[in-house]
Amino acid sequence: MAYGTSSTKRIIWTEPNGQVAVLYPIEAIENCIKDVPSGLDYFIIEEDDIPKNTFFERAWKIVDGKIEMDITRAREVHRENIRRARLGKLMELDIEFQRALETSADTSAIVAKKKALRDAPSDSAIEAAKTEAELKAQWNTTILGDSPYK
Amino acid sequence: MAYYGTNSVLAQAHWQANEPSYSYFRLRQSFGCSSVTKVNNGQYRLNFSNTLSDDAYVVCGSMSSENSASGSEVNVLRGANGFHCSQHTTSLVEVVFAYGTYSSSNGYANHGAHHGVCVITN
Repeated sequence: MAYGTSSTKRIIWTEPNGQVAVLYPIEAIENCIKDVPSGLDYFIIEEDDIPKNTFFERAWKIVDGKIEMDITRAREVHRENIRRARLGKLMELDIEFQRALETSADTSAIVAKKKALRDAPSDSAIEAAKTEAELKAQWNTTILGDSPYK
Repeated sequence: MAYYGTNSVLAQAHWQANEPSYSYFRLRQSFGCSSVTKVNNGQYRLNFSNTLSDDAYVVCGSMSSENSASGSEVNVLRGANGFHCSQHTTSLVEVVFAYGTYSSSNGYANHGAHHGVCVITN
């Protein structure tokens, strides 16, 4: 039985789908080279070089043997998070809308909320964000609820 | 207890994926694996120490539910957690853990406190 990883070394590479993979060794690091898919360039790094924050790990890329964030891909991850967050809220608003119709109540506020949710992923501030911090700040808790970046 | 076959455990691993200070991967113990690769959020590859003679094995997996840390079943209203194999060879098994989602819950991450995979043969 092995407990934990064997060293502070990690092996990273880019999978064919563009995702950065991180290998955690259990055996000696040299025995783990076989675990890197054949034909892929890999790099051995220290565990401290792996970002602690994985909110945008699907946007990671390897540059000169180090993990960096691709802001273009991070924006798309952020938009996906918004789309996921708004799903339930749109469903709830649909019910509110139907109920309002049944009672001939004013639906304009509900319609406005639905439009805000639909427009959220295309907010120009997302495209303007240049850093991870700026991107995380583009989460409208008023319409989307709690930020996933906590 | 009755056993069928040898019930030999070929490999197994257990890790935590809820600790930011470990970049959301903290291996706690393992057997029969040379390494574990995090391929994506919730997607992991167990690389076997030795190449197996065949891939006719069973893979079991489990992940703690997101709200279990509270010790309460209240508000655990997500869909079923998912576990499946995306690769199954004589040298590795790749597994995917996924949270279910519920209308108002986010389902963003697969950062369970406990992830376990066990590879068993007859």
